[in-house]
Amino acid sequence: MIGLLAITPQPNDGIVVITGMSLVFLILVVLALIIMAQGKIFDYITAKKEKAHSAKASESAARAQAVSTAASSEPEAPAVEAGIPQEVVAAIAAALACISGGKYQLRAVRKARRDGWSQSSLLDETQPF
Amino acid sequence: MSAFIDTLGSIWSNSGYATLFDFANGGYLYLIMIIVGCGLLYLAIVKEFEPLLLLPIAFGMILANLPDSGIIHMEYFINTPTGHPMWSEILDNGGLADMLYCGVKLGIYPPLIFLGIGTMTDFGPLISNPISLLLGAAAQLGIFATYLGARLLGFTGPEASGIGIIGGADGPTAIYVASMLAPHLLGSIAVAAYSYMALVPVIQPPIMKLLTTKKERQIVMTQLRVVSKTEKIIFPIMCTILVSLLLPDAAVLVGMLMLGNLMKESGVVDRIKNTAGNELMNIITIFLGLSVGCTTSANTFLNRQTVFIIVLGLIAFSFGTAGGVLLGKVLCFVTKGKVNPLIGSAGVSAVPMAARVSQKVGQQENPTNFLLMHAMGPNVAGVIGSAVAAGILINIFG
Repeated sequence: MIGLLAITPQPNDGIVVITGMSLVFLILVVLALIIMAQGKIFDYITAKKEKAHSAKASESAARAQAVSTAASSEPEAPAVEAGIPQEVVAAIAAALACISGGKYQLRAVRKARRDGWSQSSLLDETQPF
Repeated sequence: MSAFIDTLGSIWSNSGYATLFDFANGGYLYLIMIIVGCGLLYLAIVKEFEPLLLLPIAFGMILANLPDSGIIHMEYFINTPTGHPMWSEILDNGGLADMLYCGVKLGIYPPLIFLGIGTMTDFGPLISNPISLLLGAAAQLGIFATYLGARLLGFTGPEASGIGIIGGADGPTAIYVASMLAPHLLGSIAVAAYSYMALVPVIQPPIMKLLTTKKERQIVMTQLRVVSKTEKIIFPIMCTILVSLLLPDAAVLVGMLMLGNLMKESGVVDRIKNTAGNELMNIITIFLGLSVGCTTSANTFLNRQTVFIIVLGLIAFSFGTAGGVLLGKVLCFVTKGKVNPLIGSAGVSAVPMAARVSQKVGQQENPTNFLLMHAMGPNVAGVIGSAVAAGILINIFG
């Protein structure tokens, strides 16, 4: 249509006005529709991402809840052998909780009875640290 | 002694003063043009009417109307025997203003100005509220209503198109269309366009108040949707392809606008974005203003046509404002009062002045109402709309 108008020497004024306004509206309406569709797509993607994010967040929150529940459901103190300080018990319990994520619980703490070879091996393994 | 007097007489007769004060041979016309130029300088400097362009335009007007200065040779560009610019004459005899005017004649400066505008435009409000595009389209009513008015006053189709585009309230677009379709009216059209753009805060409010009720003006619009960076990057690419395929004549204007915007939104070419929006745009503004001012001569400016153009320019702005506000009222009705019709007036471009006017008029009725961001959508849509309208008119009459 535009091409046809271009070769017409002096188009009718009414046609110029009607065609002009119609084309301006048409192009901008098409642009608006595309932007709307694009907006919907982006909103959908954002919503999906947020949903996945919130699901992950709620999962980790549930896990944390479970840990605290488990901890609170087992209030029994570990059996500690005489002579072991409370600080050592607390450090062992914290290390265990940290590694197992609350899955295991410290039940008892007692001194290891190692012979000379075992003691030597343990020192070899741990001394560098 | 007589030799001394003869020499002085010779210098006087060869000076511009002799031509200027030779009223019998039309010297007064130069004088009037110089006074008009000084008047425009006053508006630019004292009243700050679009000074960035009005100042060089006004000074160019004075320069071009200094008798015998020969600063520009419009006879090489307009009404030539072949109908095309006389390039060899321009290159042989042309000077600074002739060379600068080539940028206008070839349609180089307006797209480069658009490139700079693109780097400063945020299409976020438009993307978050695409309905704004309709308001930007409705405000182009001024262009086509003025086209009809110009035709009724006896202007040819191309001339009427050049005059009508004043209603787009977009200086570079008006200059682009005028230089393509009615170069002999370029000076008058540019002066009218920039003068009225500066007068937007005076012209628009009465029309906005006349067409809206107090209740409509008090409408508070809801918060805009947050637009992601990806959407802002996609928009200029998509808009360029869509508009340019449909309307190739608008490709250069829309394309440059969107290229500038893509530079801004991508965030990866800060150096060239800064150049396009600052140094390049400033240089082009000087070239454009000066060369457009130089095109104004007494013969082409001091006539009835210029008076008509000034009047038609006012009509163009008024109809554009009314078109936007009226569609705003329709949208207000359709959305059950969610759209404040005042934002429609911003569809006439004149970024960001027209949006500020919407904000100001809205706040007069409701001091807690902030329409600025909502009005920026139709405002930038108006820039696209006027570029599209320009493409249509060039396609029809070019």
